[in-house]
Formats: sequence, C-alpha cells, structure tokens
Amino acid sequence: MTLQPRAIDTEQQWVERARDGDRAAFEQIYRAYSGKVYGLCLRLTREVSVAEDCTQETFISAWRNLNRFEGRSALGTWLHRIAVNAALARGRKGHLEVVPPPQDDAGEEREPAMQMDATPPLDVEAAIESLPEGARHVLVLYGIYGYTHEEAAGMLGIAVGTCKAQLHRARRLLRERLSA
Amino acid sequence: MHMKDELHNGGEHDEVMTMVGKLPRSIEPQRDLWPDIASRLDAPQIARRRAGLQIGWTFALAAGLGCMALGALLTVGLMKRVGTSTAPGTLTAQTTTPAAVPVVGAPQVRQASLGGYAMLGPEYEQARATLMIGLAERLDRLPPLERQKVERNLNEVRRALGEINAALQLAPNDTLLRELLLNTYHSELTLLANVSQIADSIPSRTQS
Repeated sequence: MTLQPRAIDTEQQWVERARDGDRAAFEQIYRAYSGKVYGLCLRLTREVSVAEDCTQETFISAWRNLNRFEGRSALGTWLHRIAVNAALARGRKGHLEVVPPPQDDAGEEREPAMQMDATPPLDVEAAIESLPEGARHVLVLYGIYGYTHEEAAGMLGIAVGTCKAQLHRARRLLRERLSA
Repeated sequence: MHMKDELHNGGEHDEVMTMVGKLPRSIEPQRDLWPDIASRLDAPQIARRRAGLQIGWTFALAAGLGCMALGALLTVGLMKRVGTSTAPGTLTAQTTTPAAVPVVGAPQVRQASLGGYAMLGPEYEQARATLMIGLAERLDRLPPLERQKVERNLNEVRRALGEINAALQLAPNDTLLRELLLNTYHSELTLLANVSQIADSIPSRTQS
C-alpha cells in the first residue's frame, strides 16, 4: 500500500518526535500499527496472550531502537520484521528481548496493503490455523501480508527454496482442508 | 507482484490464495496494550544483555548434544573452514551489515546462516542445500507424531539461532556466542540429516 504523502509526513514526524523521547508521538505509531502487528503476531502464534506479548515486545523494541530505523523501508515493514522475530522467539523460556533486524539495502518502500475486509472468511482462518507451523508462517507472510518469498524467507530465517516448498505444502493442505 | 508468480507456478491454487489474500491484515487486540507498553518503555536495557547470556548458556547444552550427533565429515569440513579463515573460536565474515536481509531484485548470494552473523562456507551451504531439497516432502512421509517432533525441534533450533544472533548484536565480540552459533548450525544439520535418514527408511506410498 502506498501511503499518501500527508500520511508519510505525519508518520515521519511521529518517528522523529518519538526518537526524541516523545511518548505521545510513539503512542500515535502504536495506534496506527497495533492492529497490523497484532494481526501478524496472532496468526503466527495462534494464541491471544502470546500475540499480545509479542505485540508489546515489538513496540518496546521499536521504541528502544528507533534510532536504527533509517526510513529505507516502510515503518510498517520494519515493525512486522520485529514482530516476526518476536513471534519466532516465543515458546522458549527466558527468551531474549527482540532486537530489530537491520534495514535492507534496497531502499524498498513496499508496505503491505492494510485494507480491512469486513467479512473475513472464518473457515479460511481456521484452516490456516490448523496448518503446521512452518507452512503457516510462510502462508501468513506471503499470502496474507503480501511479502515476497525473499522477504518472507529473510524474516523467518529460512532459505528461499524452503519458503517456496512450505508455501506449496501450505496451499496443498489448505486446499484439502477447505474442500473436506 | 508475487501473485503473478503464482499464476505461472500453479494456477490451480489461485482460488485458495485468493481467499487467503482477502483476509484482513489488521486485527485489533482485544484490549488496549498501550498502558503495559508505556510502563515498560523505560525499563533498564541492561536486562537484555543478561537475558542474552542466559540464553547462550542454556543453549550451549542443547547445541553440544547436537554437535555430538553430527557426522564426522561435516564437522571436519566446518572446523577446517573456521580454522583457516579466522582466529580460533570465531566465525568467518563477521558483519553487522544486513546481508541476511534479502534484497528484492538483487543477485541472490544466500548465506547458509539464519541470521546476519555467520557465513559458514561452501561445505556447510552444500550440505544444507542438499538436505533442504525435498524437506517438505520428506516431512510429509513421516508419521504425524514424528513429523511434529521434527518440526518442533527444527523450529527450536531456528529460534535459538535467531536469539543467538540477537545476542551477538549486543555482544558482537563474544567468543562463546560465536561458538554457540556454530554449534547450533551443526545441530540444524544434524536434524536435517536425521529427517532424511528416517524418511528414507520409510517406504513411499508408491512403493509396494
């Protein structure tokens, strides 16, 4: 999704003010992105409480590392990468607090579309939730959030070929389960 | 963009992917998480370093067990690589540049690592690439319980790799962490090799 120039300006202002310690500005960032971050965390972890924890960790990590965000990727993409790290780090006791990934070199600005769908097909959500973890993670990032295989593989720490194989598997299983 | 690729690669699945693509990308939390976040924004960051080192020690045990099971050939190859390229106990091409973040449209110089801190050389990459070929199919051939166990273990190893890499961002010169990273890659290879071995021992459905 391409943000309107006015929105980008506002977002950049939020980031700059938050870097200076302005919590109100950072809260604006949270309000703007909490749904997108939580949605991703919930689909990756499948548990509300874990997704809430991941969302909190994502924004806390973002706050502490805002000086590393150079604006070469969209803020939403940066937050999503932190969120994926947080989700993957969960499940282990005494996990590390998440450190945001470095910015990419390509300067890509692609932001996943953020449109809302008022009529979510719940059976599809349930079928996705039933998928094996690896396949589900790839399907969520690729199929729902629109990341490329390269981006999804980078976020998940897997090879691009593995990402493609997992997507193939996810689609096959999903098709079977939706047609059952 | 990637949807075009799917059209070429598997048109029969388009309906499924279309349904998936229509799901809402934003889901609001059931409660306002901001108060908790705000209360934690200024927590001392020293805790992060401590947590990282705890994970390192914890994972040392698991990584050590994984190393013991690794084949001799891979071990020799990897250690030779490390020994000839860097000082003892360090990995090659240590860098904090975002090499692990894929660049769309750029040539794929894929690291064997799952993070940004290690490039373990061609021996590792070749071994891993070989084992990754058909991994999903091999996993599908395993009995459900075994498959879940393997997937859980692989995810565990990969989570650990992510955490060690994160810890290395805080302490990039920590020799222990670097060794743990190497050991963890060993563990991943071991798991992948085990999957191959187990799956190959199971007759495929097409075999009588």
